Amino acid sequence: METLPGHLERLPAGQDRFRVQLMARSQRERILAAAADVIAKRGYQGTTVALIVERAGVARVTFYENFENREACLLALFDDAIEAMRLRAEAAVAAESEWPAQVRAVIATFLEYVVEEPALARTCLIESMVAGAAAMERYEQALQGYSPILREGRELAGGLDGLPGTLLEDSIIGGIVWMVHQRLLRGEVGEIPGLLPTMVEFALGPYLGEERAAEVAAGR
Amino acid sequence: MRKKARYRTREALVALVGERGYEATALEAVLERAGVEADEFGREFASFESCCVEVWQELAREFVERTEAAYARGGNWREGVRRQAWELCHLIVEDHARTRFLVEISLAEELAAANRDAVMSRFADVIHRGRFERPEAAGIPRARAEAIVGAVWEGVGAHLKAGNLDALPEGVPQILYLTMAPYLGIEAAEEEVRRGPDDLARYRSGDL
Repeated sequence: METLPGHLERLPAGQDRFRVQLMARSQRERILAAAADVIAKRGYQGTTVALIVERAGVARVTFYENFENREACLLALFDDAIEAMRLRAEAAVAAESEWPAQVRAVIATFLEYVVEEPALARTCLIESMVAGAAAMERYEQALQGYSPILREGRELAGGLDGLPGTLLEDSIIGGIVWMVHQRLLRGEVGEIPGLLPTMVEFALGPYLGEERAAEVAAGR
Repeated sequence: MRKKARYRTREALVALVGERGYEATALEAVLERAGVEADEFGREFASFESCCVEVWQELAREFVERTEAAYARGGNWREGVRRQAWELCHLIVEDHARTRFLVEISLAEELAAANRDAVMSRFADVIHRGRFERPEAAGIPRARAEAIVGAVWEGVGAHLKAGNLDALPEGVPQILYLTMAPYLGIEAAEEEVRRGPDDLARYRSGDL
């Protein structure tokens, strides 16, 4: 169950308490949305709590009721985004029965999410790099979380038995993220959906060969 | 004399960022380590940030020159890419402080980031020459080469953060597999995996 800030916890149970919970959740979400916007615009280093609360239209005290500091706010933003993407990826995998189509669906889902939430994507994929060790660690873990999905492809490939660990998969994921990273950096969000075929071929080619990867990329 | 001050500043800056990280490195500490006076520094650099970017550019230029020379020694695309990959690996691993400096400055300073992207674009150009290797590769989009270079960058960053840069050479055959697969086909790419242990041994003994 979500923990409310201290002064809210003392309110009576019942309808009032429910309303206060809703308000607290809504305030937290407003702060997070505002933080993503401000960070995307000014960069993490140029973002202050004052700018976030101004953008969110909440009192400074409300910010500190929800987050210890700017970094905690960024990490919460990151955690929410990672979880949202994980759920989308799970649904994408579940909707397909074949491994190549599952990989394609996860990449498509990732690109859709980035295009829907470019400010959030910029915060997570670019600004997290300069936001301290905890943010970088989350970034790495989030990316590595997708390696097992790709690694299943080794069963379909012939000569990859000698490759240790998941470096191949980590590299593929790194390459995909890099392509998005570059478009976000250049403000070319509109180009991102068009990357899908190239990304799918990049991800599947090492396992299936170029011809089959191109077919899957084309949705065949 | 001025050159000496500039060189000492560069050495101290790279060493300190390597030890402490960019965020925790102050100009005063660099000057103290370098034995350079503030006015000497001021004659060489407009600011601490511009010093970082200039040093970044100097180091990156050395990386580009050495890796492109390695490519040229290969004599053909495939061997050239192999040699370039191993040379790049060597440069990254031989000086951890320099690698940390190059990564952190390019993340923190916009101008260095733009320069990094230009350098990576040159690497992507070299990889994308693979489209001339066989007719089937002619239609491969350049973004594919960009992704391969991005994979290298992300891999270096991950090794740096995990504190295991010394393990990077073990990943070179996988990166070469990823590089060769689209341009030469899977069977040719598998050759990179098969020869990986021998190449790694040659690299470790200084023959590669």
